[in-house]
Amino acid sequence: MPVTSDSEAYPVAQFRKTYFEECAELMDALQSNLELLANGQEDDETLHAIFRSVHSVKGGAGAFGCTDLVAFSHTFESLLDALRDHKIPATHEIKQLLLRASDALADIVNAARLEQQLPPNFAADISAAMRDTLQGAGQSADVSSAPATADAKTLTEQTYRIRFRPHTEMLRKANEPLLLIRQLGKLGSLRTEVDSSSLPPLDSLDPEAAYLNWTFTLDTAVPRSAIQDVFEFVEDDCDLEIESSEPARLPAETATSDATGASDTSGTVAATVAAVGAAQSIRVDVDKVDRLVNLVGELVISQAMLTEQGLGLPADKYPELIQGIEALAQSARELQESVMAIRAQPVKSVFARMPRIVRELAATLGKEVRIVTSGEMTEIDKTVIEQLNDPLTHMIRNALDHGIESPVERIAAGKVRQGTIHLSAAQRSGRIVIEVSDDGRGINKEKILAKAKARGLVPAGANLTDDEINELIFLPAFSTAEVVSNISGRGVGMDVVKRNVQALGGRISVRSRFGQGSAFTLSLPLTLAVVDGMVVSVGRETFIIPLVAIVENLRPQTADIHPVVGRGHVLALRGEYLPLVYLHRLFSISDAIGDPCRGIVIIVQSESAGRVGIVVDELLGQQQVVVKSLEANYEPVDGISGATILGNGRVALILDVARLHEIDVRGTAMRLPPPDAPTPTEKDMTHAA
Amino acid sequence: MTDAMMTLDSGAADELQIAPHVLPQMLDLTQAGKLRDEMIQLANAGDVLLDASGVERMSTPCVQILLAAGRGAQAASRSFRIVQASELFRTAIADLGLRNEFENWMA
Repeated sequence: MPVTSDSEAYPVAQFRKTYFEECAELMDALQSNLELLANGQEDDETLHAIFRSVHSVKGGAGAFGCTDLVAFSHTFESLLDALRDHKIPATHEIKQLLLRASDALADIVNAARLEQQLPPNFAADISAAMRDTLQGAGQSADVSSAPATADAKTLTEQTYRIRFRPHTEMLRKANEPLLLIRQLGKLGSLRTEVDSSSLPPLDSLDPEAAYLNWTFTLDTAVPRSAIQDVFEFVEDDCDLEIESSEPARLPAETATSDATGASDTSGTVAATVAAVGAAQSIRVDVDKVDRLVNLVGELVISQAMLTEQGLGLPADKYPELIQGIEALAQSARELQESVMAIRAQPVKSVFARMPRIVRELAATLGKEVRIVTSGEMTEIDKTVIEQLNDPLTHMIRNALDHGIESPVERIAAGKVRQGTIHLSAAQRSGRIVIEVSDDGRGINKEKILAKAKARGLVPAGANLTDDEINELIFLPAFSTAEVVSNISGRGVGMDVVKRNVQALGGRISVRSRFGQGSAFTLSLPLTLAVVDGMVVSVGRETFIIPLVAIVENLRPQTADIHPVVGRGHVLALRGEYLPLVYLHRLFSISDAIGDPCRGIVIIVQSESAGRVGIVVDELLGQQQVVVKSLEANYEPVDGISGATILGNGRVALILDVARLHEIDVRGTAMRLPPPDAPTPTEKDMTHAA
Repeated sequence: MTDAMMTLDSGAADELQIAPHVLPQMLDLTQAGKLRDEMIQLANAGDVLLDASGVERMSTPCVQILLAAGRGAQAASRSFRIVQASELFRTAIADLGLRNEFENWMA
């Protein structure tokens, strides 16, 4: 067995990197739990979770000499300790102080990570406020390392039964049960039973694997959380159960009747720490996952090409080859799904950053605003999440700056002083829909229209619908902010958001009622990497229509097609009239079948355009395709969300079905890449997804 | 701490008539692989006599190896003795809840 020291295997820089990665997660958890606390969730679990986050941040900081971080988090931790012990009430002021402290801690962590120097006296006011609060409650800014303090002893002693089963790999990670047991022994009177029945004979024993399990009986006055804290750093590497049983009667209570003890026993609470059954996890560099995803993408394309070649082979001559190709297709698909699942993350990581933005902006603007989030656990591909932050921040700022009114204005309008911003995420028909809504003043359509006309963006006599007026705010350099503030209203607002969202293959729309508020809705693909598509032909062009959008395909009768003046044709389908979109007209394709009764109509549905019939020549089949960015390889084409390489090596464009109808109504033909233009080659697209 | 555990049984070495194998000062995780190999070698050679007087650091992996070595010797009806165990060695055994089993070998 080669013996290497930990310091050789994991240089300090690696530990430091891991620490700050963990810090980011801890800060997210801290932020989320503080939000829960601020919204009235004041139970012990929440308070303990908040304490543990700060405690863990502090724990690692000391090891890397981050003295500012240790000092600040120490005071913060002391305040939280007093709070969880109910020595300080969770008042509104205290909650606000905790939120400010959390923001400051995030900045200090960030500065430590980047090895930057913070201004002198940074967050000194917050530290002072925390110390004052502690002193006011008769506490000092000092958390005793031994939780069994004199105060704790006044609590009734309890007997805890703690079952500790290290996972096989726990020791290998340099976690030493001896230290945990000794730490536990400091909390009270400890009895230890060991189960060594899993220990194998010497010659088959892995010297670094864990084989022993323990059951401890601890008589102590400290709360359960103090016991959990002992195991905090091995939570993911062990199964832990902590049960409280009958209170061990204090000497003074010994004389009381047995009935007391009996009734206490009946109140036995069995609780399992989150660590129980926790899935084992490993930390993997994102680049490695991305490389894997790209490779799987290449594999899927190669597999599609093989399948295409296989179609030309007589099945009776090469049955095993054909079977092999089919098995490969199945495995490639499963592999791809598994890899994509690795990249899926809850949107929580982005949502968690928004409350701070709201707090800070509200303070700057003198407004009172709360943010309510929902659907944070909705999962979405990591690449989408990363690029979601900017548009979302912009939309939140916009809602605060332009939407929510000042407290005075709100009261005058008969509203509550405090404005509310709702941020929600949900999965709908294969896409993620994120909505930012506010109960502010809403969009003043008259003002928008007047400004657009004044700028010549809309002809003077134009008669626009409400939706069309709302859409004007997405035009470049369009801002109606009366005062250009440093928050938004610099004229680089919603057009940038729209562009960012479109670059992600997404769409943005707005609903608004003047005086009542606005709601911006982002609709994004769950992943940017793969799509299940229907391959269709129009003339010599091949397109992909995402399967999630397709309702049905049909060849209509001539009698079902009706002209509509100025709006093309509609298809009568089971009592409903659906607008028809002719792809060959939209993309100026000359050699296509123009008549829907000779071609195929594909009925698609989207949240913004409803049900629409798309007229194509022929259905070529279903296929999972690897999405490549058209923007990165050519230039954006309206109505096209991306491109892919088919099994025959040709590039096919993926349709953005929701946009097609809008473009068709607008009546402008889109420009496909011209034959002589530097069309993206297979090589280009393969390497630039 | 029982007297039995503290006994420095000077007669044990004579009884076994073998030189005690001196356990290293550090019995931490990094030494576990080496300790296991040594214990296998000693077990193959016959009776085992260990001198734990110089042990200044103990770890669960090494305790597991000693426990497996002791049980293996017992099963093979060979002698397994630990003599002159340091205070730190004995405390670690006790803290891990293994005092009863080790007492058989340390007495």
